[in-house]
Amino acid sequence: MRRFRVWLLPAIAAAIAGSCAGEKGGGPNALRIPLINDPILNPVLAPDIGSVLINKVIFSSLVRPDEQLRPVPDLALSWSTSADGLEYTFNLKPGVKWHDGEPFTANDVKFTFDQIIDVKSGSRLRSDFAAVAGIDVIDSLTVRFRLKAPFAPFLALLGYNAGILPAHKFRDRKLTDATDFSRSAPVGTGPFRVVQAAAGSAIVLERNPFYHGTKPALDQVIFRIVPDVNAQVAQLLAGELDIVPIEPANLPSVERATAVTVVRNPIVQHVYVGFNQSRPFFKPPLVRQALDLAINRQAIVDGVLKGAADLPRGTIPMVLSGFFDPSLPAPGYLPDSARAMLGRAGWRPDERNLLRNADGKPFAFTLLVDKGNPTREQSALAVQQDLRRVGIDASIGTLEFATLVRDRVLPGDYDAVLIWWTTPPDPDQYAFYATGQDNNHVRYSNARVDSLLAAGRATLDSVQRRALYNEFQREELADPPVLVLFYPRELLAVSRRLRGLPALGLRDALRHVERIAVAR
Amino acid sequence: MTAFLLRRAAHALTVIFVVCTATFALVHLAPGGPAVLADPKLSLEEQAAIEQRLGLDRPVAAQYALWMGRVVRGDLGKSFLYEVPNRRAIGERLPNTALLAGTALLLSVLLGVPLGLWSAVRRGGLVDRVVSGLAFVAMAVPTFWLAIGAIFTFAIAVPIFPAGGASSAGEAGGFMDRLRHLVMPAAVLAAVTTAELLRYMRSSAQTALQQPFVRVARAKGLRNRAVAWRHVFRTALIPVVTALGIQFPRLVGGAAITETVFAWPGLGRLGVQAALGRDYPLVMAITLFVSAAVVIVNMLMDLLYLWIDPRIRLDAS
Repeated sequence: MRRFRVWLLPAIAAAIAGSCAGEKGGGPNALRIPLINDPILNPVLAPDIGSVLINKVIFSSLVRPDEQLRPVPDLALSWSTSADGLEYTFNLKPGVKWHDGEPFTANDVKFTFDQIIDVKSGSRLRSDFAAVAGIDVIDSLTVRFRLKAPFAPFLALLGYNAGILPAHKFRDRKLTDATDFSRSAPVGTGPFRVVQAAAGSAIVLERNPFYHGTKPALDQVIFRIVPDVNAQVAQLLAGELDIVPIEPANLPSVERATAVTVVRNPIVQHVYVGFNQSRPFFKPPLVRQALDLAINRQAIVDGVLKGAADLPRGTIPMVLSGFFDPSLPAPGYLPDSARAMLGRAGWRPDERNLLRNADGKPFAFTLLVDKGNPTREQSALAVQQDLRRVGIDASIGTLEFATLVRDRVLPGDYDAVLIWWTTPPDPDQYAFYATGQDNNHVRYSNARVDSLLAAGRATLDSVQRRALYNEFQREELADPPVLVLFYPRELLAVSRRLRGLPALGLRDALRHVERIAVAR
Repeated sequence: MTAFLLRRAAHALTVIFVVCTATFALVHLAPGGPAVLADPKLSLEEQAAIEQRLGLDRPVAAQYALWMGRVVRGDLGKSFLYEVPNRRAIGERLPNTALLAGTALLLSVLLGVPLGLWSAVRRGGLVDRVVSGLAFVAMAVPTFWLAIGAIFTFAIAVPIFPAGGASSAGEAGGFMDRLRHLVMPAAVLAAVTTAELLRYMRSSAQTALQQPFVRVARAKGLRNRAVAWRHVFRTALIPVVTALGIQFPRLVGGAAITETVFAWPGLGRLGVQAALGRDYPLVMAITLFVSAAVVIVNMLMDLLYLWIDPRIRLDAS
């Protein structure tokens, strides 16, 4: 009896192990992507990047960005702009159906944007569309947006996160009360529709038979909830995931794997050290110019980011090639010039080579960084060391991201912070760097920049707009709003079985999910 | 018996009340705020609108009174992070937690108790030495490391088991599929509990072996195995049952690391994510639920003592 049981154990194990061996091999005709948490399946309410990603394949928007990040038709066939730039009229694609078979009409567009601009709806997109005064339904396939002022980023923002919602699913309830919709049964017009949502586990989407665009090559897209990045990498190596956004620290483990390749796609993001300019230290442009020269960015890009970043020229990311001036010089690493400039600004080294001003106060401050991201923590350390070399004593404070933002950055209770902006594919940075704006956390103020940024968002002609932003870039050299460290690239570990993944950041690449295929 | 149960129920309610009040105070005193508000892009107006919608614009004491009032009426509130009722969020995760914790508990009892007894009876023997050594390793190695090690060994190097999840996404998830996903997380979770139960069982069995009734049994000429199972086992079980009662909350609420690494959709992970995201209503709902479960299990343990050891009497207290 006893002997029998002993040999039974391995037999059971073998049976369990063998029972699913057929699943391996080429894998399913599905794209499998990790999310760290259960998403909110409603593009208007979604607050986090995971929700944004999945909503891109469920919901279509009026326009979407192409591979050069220019807006191209999606639910809108075409559009026209009034001469004063205050009215946009969209002709919608006829015959589009929602996932539940209902027809898509201009009423859905109006409903969605009425919700977006309503501060009480729970909308997370309100600031993107603050310029919208109202939406008129002209007929079932024509919709007109009225703006309060000309607003050049409008089209880019329409294609960014503004997925269109079905009005018929919200007739008698608020967005925030439609739990089943946001949790498990969303209805969109996108290329894939949700067929199964297991909390904390996975959301399974299958090809939308009514899809209005090119028929997707994949049968399924599966978003698996895997909270830990090391576990995500392990699942990728085990062939259970297809795309995993990784940190530079994960590179060695994925570069060894033969079934996986790493892509480094540019994204619309700038990582910077923001100096709080309501602090007297950081007020003079000369000081910020000097700090700009004191940092060895190339060493950070090579050492910390393992090359997965581009050297910056101001706050407009290089990937916005239609507006970015590449002829400007990349920032130099000139610690001696930095020291000389700080000397001119009144900072003299003491016997310990620490800078002090006329009152004898040392140039010392705290640099905050969010806890838990090794790339940013190591970048902060590198900045600290470079600053020490020119005589500045920066101590590092780490805080959990939510605490950092809510308790320190938003109220302006900090000296310096290492943080980043991810922006829509448009150069408009008025909200970040114009005087007195809500998102101008560094309290930057420069009259020339104010007028350039104001003109930039009001000018529709792309040639004139480019000239304005190039001028802004040059102005930033003389009076840097922030110390831009680098333009990061998104590191994606990708299964070699994938085909047709656009060379974009994941959030934009997923807008073209119908082009992605797997080798079988 | 009725008096005992009533007394324990009053005791239980007090414990739950104290735990919840303390947790409420702690989560609100902790620095930072709900992750849903930690968006550097929010304008002040949007921030105010969200705070108002979530009830965060009221004083903490008022929020507490409101929360308590709802709980009494059976309403656990709505999660900030997921925009769903907390009752649903917990309900969705509970079966997974029950499956994982139940399997781990069963495994550790089935392995830990007999092996502990064996180690005690044959003290210093081969089994005792091997098993005790393994137990120390299991207790010393961090769970995270054990879990990642298991994944790299059995999902990547020798791909026998899936690396994570509770079932294959996109498939119905038949019995075998669920079982394959369960093996590694249950084994990792059971490793520590098995080791601890084994140590408890070993030492309490050793104590029992020195009791006069064991000597009497031996004097009667009973064989070692009969002595161990019939006389030592039941006596030695009391401290082990106590240890089990202590393990239970750890398995339900504290399996977060195992659940995170294996992407297991359980309650522990939900709790950790709620705490990190400062999802106050969800943190409170989970606290309430887990503390109630622990108190109830402890009551059951008390009743179990009666069955195991007839010498224990309720009215004696």
